[in-house]
Amino acid sequence: MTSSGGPWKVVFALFAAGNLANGLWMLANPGHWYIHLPANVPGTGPLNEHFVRDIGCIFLLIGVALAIAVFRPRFRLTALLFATSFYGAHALVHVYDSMRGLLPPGQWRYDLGPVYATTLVLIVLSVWLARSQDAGRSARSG
Amino acid sequence: MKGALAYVAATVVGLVLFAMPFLWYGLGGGHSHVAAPHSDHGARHGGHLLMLYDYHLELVEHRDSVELYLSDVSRRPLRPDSCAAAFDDHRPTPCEWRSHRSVVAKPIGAQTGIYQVWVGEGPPLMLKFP
Repeated sequence: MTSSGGPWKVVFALFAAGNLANGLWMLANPGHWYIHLPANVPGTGPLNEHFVRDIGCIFLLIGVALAIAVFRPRFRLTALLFATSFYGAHALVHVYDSMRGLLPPGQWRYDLGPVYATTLVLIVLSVWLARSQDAGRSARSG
Repeated sequence: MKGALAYVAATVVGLVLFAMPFLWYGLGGGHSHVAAPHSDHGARHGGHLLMLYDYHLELVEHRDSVELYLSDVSRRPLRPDSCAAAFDDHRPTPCEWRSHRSVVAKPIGAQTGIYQVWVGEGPPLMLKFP
């Protein structure tokens, strides 16, 4: 699968849509997001609208970068590394908070899929995309 | 055939990635900690937590208003159908929903409030505080 291929476009478009939707929701109506996200976000503590908007900004920026990458194949690796860095850093925060006991015992079981496995998927995709781009460059120069 | 499979795989991977921001908060784990019924009676907004049957109501008193945070038996937040409060035998004042909580105006210096909260059908939940 070449780095400019259609399947990559599908991956980037869907990933962008999720980030844009979540980011816009957090920025537009933090209170609605806090209550209506299908989860018990309030279990983490009271709403801080400012913090929700802060986090919404990064989701929005990642979504914008990924959306640009849908139409600009040469920007895809940069955008994917940007997103992977954020998701990877978030996973490391979970590791740290689990080890020091801030997150409850057994938390890693819940985090395994949505936090750790999906971050791993992003790392694999980043490596794959980087290799595809290298292969493409080699083919053009050769 | 190979090309079609690539698109299917890309769609599956894409959908997983699409859901990622929401999955963080949505699988009962992650950042989420649903309390067992009646196991969590801590105030989360710096106010007073009160029980109303299977509901929790946290009152945060300010000089000229009171914020009401309603939650269910497991502390999941709820938006009441409506609510009102009467202070020091004055007439009830309806609450206003603001962002994520109900807010009711309070006369400055008022001592006691009688709160009424409507959730679903049936009579309102009522309590007097303090």
